[in-house]
Amino acid sequence: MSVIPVLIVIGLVVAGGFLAAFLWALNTGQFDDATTPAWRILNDEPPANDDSKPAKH
Amino acid sequence: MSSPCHYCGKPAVQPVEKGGRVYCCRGCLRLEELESEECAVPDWNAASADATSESVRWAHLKQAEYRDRLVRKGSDGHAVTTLFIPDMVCASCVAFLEKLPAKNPAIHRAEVNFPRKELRVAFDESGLALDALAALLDRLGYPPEMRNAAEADQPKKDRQHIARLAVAGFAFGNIMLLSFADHLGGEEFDLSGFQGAFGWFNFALSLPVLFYSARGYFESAWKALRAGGLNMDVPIALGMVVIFVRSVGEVLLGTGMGYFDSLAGLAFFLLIGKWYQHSTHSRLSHERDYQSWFPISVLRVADGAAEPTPISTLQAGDRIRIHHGEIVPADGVLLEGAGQIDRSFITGESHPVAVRPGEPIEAGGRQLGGAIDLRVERPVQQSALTRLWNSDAFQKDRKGSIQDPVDRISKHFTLAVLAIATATLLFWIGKDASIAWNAFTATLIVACPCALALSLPFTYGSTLRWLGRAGAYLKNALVVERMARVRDLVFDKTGTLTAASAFETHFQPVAEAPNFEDRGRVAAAAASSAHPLSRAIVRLWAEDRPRVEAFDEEPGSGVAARVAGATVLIGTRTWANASDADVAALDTAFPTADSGLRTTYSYVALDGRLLGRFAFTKPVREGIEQELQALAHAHRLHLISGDSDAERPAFAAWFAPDRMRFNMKPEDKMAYIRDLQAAHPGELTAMIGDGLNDAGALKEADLGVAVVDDLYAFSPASDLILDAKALKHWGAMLQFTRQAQRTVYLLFAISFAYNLVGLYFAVQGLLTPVVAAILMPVSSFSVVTVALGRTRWAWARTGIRS
Repeated sequence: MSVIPVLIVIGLVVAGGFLAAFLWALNTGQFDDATTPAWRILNDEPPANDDSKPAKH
Repeated sequence: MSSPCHYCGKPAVQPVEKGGRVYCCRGCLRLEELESEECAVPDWNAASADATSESVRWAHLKQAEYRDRLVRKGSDGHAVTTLFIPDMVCASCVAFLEKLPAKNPAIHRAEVNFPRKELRVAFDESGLALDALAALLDRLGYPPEMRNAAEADQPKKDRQHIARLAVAGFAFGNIMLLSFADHLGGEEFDLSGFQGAFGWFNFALSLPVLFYSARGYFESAWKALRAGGLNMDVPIALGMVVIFVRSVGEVLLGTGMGYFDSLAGLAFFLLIGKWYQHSTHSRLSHERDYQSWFPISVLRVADGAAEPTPISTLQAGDRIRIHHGEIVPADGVLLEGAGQIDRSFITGESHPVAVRPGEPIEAGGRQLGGAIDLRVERPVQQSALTRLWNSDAFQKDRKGSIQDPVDRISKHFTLAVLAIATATLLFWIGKDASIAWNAFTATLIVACPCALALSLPFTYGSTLRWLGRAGAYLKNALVVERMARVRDLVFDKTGTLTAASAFETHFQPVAEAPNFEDRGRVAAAAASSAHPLSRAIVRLWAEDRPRVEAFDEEPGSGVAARVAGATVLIGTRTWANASDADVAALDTAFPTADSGLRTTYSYVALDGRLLGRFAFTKPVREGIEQELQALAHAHRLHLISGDSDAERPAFAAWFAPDRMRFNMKPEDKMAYIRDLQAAHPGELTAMIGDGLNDAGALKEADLGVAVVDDLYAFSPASDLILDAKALKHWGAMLQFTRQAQRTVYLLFAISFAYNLVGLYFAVQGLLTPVVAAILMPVSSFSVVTVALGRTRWAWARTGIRS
């Protein structure tokens, strides 16, 4: 049973990783707009440039 | 058999109905909405034409003061700016704007955030300056609008709140999991050996909750204490500190695992409430002043050359040029051109006024004729209109003194909790010191007003959302409380009760109705003029228009044109040579409308023969009559208008004679509201208006309602932006907010009941972490469920279809 604290630590690290990933996505503006990206794919022409990573505000 | 889909024509199997039309699916409904919305994607070629008017409008962006505020250096070295573009309405607009880089080499990246109506552009300043970029967008039909700093920073605040919520949720979930072992206990799950370790894990997890997620509550409570007051955040902060201290004590002494789960849960639920209550209409601005109405630059004419100049630098004596559709920025005298000023937004006058050279023009009106030249008489800051903003109402925020009900009771609540806790301490201290400490802290923990603090955000937040769907956009959730308590309703006339711009036009013929050709001739002559009445004629008679051979316009009189071999005269009585007998005959045949609304006439003569006349009125908005009738039951109705009292009879049915005032200047309107508040202390007054002349009254009133035809166009600072189409539901909306108030009181009762149950255990020193862990979420969930459910029920009862 002494493995439990170790497993909990591992579990917390993994979950903390997901939390960090979420906070990163949030702070880079990935949740700011849930509408436009869905429309963007309906646009036939290819994007004007490939530099399309979300930018920091 | 179901009817076919309005969009694709296929039989509708699972029909969706909207606006009386049937669609086979949501997709078809959405596509039709997209296509039918006013969306004229402009032609790219338009961008190549050199248009001076746009470059004038944006010339101020050359100044470092504006440029530095708007442009930031991107990570890749390009200049980056975020522009607010209210005119983007559909997916095609997005696709179009994001193609900018392909069309202009100086633009590297263009990215739209549609919900916020923002365009983020990365560009090369050496190739395209900021003002040129703005002018380009303007020419393409997407004029950017400048936002103030508070509006621009909103997304950052929203993100921070979500981050706090996420951290609290993470900690809450994990702490709950670890605490379960202790709560369940028992012989089958004997985890007692881990209690200490689990306690320390919980302690570690609770640190970010206390110091990051819940930070706002401590700051707010500290602020209130320093100001010598008590708000609801004080007992919350006190409760959290006590939970933390006691839990740390238990872990340190090894007596238990503490109440960390309650602490994290409390922070998590409270943050959800705050997030829910937050207004979702981030793209609407409730805080605009006259500076957003005026242009920033104007064309100044000096030594024969016209040059864009910021309006703040205009001096008395400067000569400025105003084009069709532009706003006159300063008080002046007309030098040249035909002034045709629409002042409905400024003074409430319902019909445009003709101004001749030599006559004064007040700042704020919109020129509707051709280009005019003015001599500036007074600098912008000293014009009659802008002086309004220097008055007291704009200097202090008086509305802050109207407390929300939670703050009202929080003082008594906090004092009562402290009294009970102290009494408990004193009672036990003589008997058993260990129980005394236990009971004292437990009382403070269980009394922490979580459910109470959630009642208001969820009820008013949900109310705000329902109202938003029906076209009423509240500044924040606390406006609901003020709406519920409003007793006096003060209406503006022009643009609020009556339509803002559209005229209702009728033709009144002398003999028989004119034939198709003659109608075409008249419409063709009218189409050559920019006068608003001419435009109304063109809208009425949208015939095939023959070519105009000759055209002349006399400001203040009318137009004369030669169309398809006939001479057309449209204008005043004398202009069209209408004889007294003809006019008398027309007056008998078409008595002034029973409505009592002010009517303007334009007479029409063809080859010297009088055809008849056009009658123009600004009609009362649809459904307003019934609405006023209904409102009169529970409210005192007032009408204050900047217009003359010609339309008094039209409104006499709904407003008592002494509660109707005409020829009111903006200051008079403010004074009227102030007098009303003084006459009925303790009762709230709402001002419902639309124009700049109402701005003072909107600010002065306890509830300022700005009625708008276009949500993204300028509206004066207000507590509530109301879509003009929703004005006919105003009474139902007020009723709905009164229901919301009742819901909040009901929830107060429920949460007090929970607190009493908790106290029953706490004062006896029997509050175990399990009881706290059960009581807190159960009370929160029941409060939230009742809040959302009852609000939904109340909305269904209003009968408003959104």
